[in-house]
Amino acid sequence: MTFAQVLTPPSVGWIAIAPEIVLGVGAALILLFDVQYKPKRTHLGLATAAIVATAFAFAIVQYDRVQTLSQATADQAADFVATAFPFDAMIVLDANAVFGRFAMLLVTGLGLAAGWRLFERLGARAAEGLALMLLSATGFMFMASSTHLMMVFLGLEVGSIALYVLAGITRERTESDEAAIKYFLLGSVASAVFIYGVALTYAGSGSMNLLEIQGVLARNIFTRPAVLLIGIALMVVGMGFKVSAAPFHSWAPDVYQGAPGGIVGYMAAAAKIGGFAALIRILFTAFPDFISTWGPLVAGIAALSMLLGSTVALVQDDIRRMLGYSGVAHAGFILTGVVAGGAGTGEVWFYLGVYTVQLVGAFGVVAAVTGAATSGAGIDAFRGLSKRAPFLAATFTVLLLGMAGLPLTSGFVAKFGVFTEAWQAGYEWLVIVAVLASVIAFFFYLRVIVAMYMEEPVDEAVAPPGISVRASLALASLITIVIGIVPGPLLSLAGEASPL
Amino acid sequence: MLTALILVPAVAAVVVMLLPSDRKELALPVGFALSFVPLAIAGYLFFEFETGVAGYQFTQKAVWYEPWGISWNLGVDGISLGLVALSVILIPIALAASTTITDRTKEFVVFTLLLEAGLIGSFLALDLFLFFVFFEAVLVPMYFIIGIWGSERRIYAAMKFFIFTAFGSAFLLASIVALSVFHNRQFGSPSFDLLELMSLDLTLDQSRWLFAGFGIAFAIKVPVFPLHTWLPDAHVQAPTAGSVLLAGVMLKLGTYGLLRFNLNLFPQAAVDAVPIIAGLAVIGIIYGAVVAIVQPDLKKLVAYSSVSHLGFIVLGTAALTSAGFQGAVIQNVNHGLTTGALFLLVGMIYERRHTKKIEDFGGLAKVMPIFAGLFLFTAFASIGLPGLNGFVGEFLVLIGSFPSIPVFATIAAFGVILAAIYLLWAYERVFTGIPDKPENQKLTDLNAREIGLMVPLVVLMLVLGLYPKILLDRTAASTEALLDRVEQATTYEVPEQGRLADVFAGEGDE
Amino acid sequence: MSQYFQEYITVGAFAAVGVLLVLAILGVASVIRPSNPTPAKKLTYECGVDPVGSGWSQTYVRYYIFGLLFVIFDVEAVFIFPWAIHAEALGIGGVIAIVLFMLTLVEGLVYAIKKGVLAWE
Repeated sequence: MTFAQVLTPPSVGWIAIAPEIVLGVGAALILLFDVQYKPKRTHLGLATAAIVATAFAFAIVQYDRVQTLSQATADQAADFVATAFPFDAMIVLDANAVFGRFAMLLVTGLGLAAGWRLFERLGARAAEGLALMLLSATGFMFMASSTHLMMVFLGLEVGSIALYVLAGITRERTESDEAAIKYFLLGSVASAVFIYGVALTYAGSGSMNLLEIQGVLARNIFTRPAVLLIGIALMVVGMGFKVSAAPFHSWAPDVYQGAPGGIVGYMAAAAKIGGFAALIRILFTAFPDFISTWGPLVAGIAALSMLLGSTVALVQDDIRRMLGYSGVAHAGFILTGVVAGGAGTGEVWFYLGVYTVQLVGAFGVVAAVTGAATSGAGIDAFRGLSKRAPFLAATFTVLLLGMAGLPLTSGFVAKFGVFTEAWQAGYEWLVIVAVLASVIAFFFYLRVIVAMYMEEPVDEAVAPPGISVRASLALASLITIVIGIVPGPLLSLAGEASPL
Repeated sequence: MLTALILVPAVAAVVVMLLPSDRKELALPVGFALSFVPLAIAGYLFFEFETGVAGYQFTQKAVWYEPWGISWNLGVDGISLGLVALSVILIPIALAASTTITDRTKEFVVFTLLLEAGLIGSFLALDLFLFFVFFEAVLVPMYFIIGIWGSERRIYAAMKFFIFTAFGSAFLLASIVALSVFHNRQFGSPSFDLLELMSLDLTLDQSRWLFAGFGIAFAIKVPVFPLHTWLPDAHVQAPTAGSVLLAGVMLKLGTYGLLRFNLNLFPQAAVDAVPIIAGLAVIGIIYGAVVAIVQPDLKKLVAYSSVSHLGFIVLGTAALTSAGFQGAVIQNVNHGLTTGALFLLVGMIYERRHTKKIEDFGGLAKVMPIFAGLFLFTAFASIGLPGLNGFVGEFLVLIGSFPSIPVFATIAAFGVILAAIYLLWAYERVFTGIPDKPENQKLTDLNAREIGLMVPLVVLMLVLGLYPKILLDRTAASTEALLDRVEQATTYEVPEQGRLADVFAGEGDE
Repeated sequence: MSQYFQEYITVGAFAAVGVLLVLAILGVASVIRPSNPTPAKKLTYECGVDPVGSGWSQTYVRYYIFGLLFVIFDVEAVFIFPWAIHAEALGIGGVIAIVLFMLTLVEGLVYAIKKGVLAWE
């Protein structure tokens, strides 16, 4: 190796991780700027928004690149591999990764705007909160774009640890600390389970690269199927924790209730996107031939999540806990699409995209009504909201109906999509369970609407929400309705998002 | 044209929503005025509709999302035409009857107009996905109308209404999903187009399960005994306009769905299920009537009479004869007119006395002669007095079902007698005698607005009673085609006297 | 005996020598050193906090942050050594990577200093 060769930087596919770089560097810069210049919080917020927007722009560039790649001819194969699988094939640049970034960045932007009052309350710690938010987004985006189990795990940890801290960022409140500790302990267990699954998968297949695993298994030369199957199961369980699927959901309601109101929506949505992105990637890329093995497991988790989430949500008197359990049910609905295997990727992504937007919006309303820096949100606080704050009540209604999956909202199209895929894949019983669970779910969504529209108002006045909150809530409801009426474009976009 | 029929009410709702919030009094008049546009469009359709053509007319189709095979697919035939007309007639009346609503008037008008869009959409949709969207979408406005503007137990009633219907819809949704998947397996692409799905090759088991899935959804909506328990609650608690639209149009979604989807898509299962459906229908007829007799509450009485009358429609559907189908279709419209009128009348007296208890009234005919006259007229129409509309429908249903299901038809005929008992007995207790209660003596008779509300309904009752040809001509070809479809796809043979030609041959002019 | 187990003989020999070495040093020391025990000398640790009383004693929270910073730079070494061994083979790309890695840590240190974590008033 000559000296000149040593000095030539290797050509790496920076574009493949450009959004992550933007977010990571942005987070660092925000912290440093904050300690050095003590800027106004509004400026910090705008800077964060600009960082997210820049990352989104890069994601669009990536989308364009992916489109070009998909038309690559045979003699461009080397080029294709270099661009699509940079960093020794630890990262992949495909539509799945790009769609994950779209969803993640949209949720980050919405969550930032909807929870802005929290960052104002945080005072000197606002920059830390913003940086943590960006870092967790970075981690979860890596989960969507890694083809290597080690990278998936790193993304998982970067994202999760930032979320643990965010859950406890209003540290003077005991509930917030409690939520953070709970989230941390149970989340660590989940990570441990996941990494154990990774280890067993490695033991069973001899690789941690998802594509290689698939190749090894396709050649049918693996010798320890039992080890491998336990590995798959443990990885599914680990991700089940992250997306709060039953029976690994117990942290979700407590954390949603205790964490500061302004950040819960983002926390819930981000963990779901990251977890499902990785789950799709792992199951569909590495183990497509094992679908008959993991399919029933995932279907079982899905059915349990839907039934348990919907029924337990019925008896909640705290809206945040209610949304937590409804999140369990939604994890089940999304898993209903996962059982269909690669064919269902588009529907799963569509569901994930529209649901997380609704989730961030709904928690935004909750934060606007009961406080962005506090815990808990009793249903009583919502009585007669339609008279006290018509805008919040109307947007909340749209978002709740969207989550309930009523036609003309995006939630209906999403449910319809995953149900069709599951039925197509032969899981008729799961679809029946799912439609029944969605009827049960109507009860608790309607309860909130009843409280807002049909019961007498309580005296508490609701502080008028700020411009950013109103904008984000309006956007979330608008997306819910428009996508509900014109689902085509997003469906086709999500339909492209199958992993390479 | 059909698209406009759906979009105009939706746009009208948006217009009303955008009215300045400090001019609350504008909402109702503007909404009322705008609701005449769909009426005009539907009127044009009604008279342009070509009689004697079996297929769908004025069809419009636009792809919605190709890979799923869903499309904006509209069309109207004899079965849906009357229901569309009924919807656009009842909406302005319901709005005009709602001047007493002072709280959140704007929202009320918006929800009513959205309801209209949803109802018309359901009747026009030829794509099952689209149908389901509208079918579910009508729930929300009605839920709010009952829940916000209803009486004391409105929340309970609204919840019960919503959950019952949503429960049924869940089965409908699963069945629609299944159909599209079966289409995908057989033809390689999913489809929700009713006409394409009719060519599906289903095993008997499949079609029975799917028939049950569709059937439960529609049976709850109708409602067929024993799934009817939400109906009295919803009716009693709903505001007058809500009751009118609920009984007048929304329940027809169920009977329409049975005719349109269950028979077309799963003919063999339908033929096999005739005893069950007819049995439940007859139970509904008798049970509804008997319960109506003992009701102390006037509104509840009308609600239970709905259960009874809708039983006739279901019976006509189960008869699987031309006359039965014709009767079911006509009775759909008739019941909308008469029951709508009865609910309006009950609403008028409730506004004056703030009670619906029969025992609180007595001798009202002396103080409110016009009101009494209109009530008696409507009651006769509802009972089925020859010359009024109710007679045509129920008579057709009965003569339609005698050839195929004579036992059920015989029992059902008693329903007509029971109807006379509960309505006339109620009339006697409310209107005859001397007004001995002091509150009743000061009651004022109907004012011009209220009479104006009733006039179009009364006229239509007379017209349809004396000259039903105007509607029957338009429904005949479609019901014949439906019968052909059932006969060709199954082992079922239409009995003698079951065809339209046979019926009218022996009957002469009505 | 297979090659596989023969390799473990080396491991066993190393282990045996290690144990013997420790025993020899301690044995020799106990023979030649003066023995003069005092209560302070018999404690498990001769410096730091007195291990007496309840285990729920309070610690100055600032130690915790120092500990964290220490661990971060401790772990940094773990990552730098493997790179250093292969520095030539990894070329300029490796240099860039390790510089980025160290910059990230430096950024954390700068932030901590600016926040006044290291100032001990």
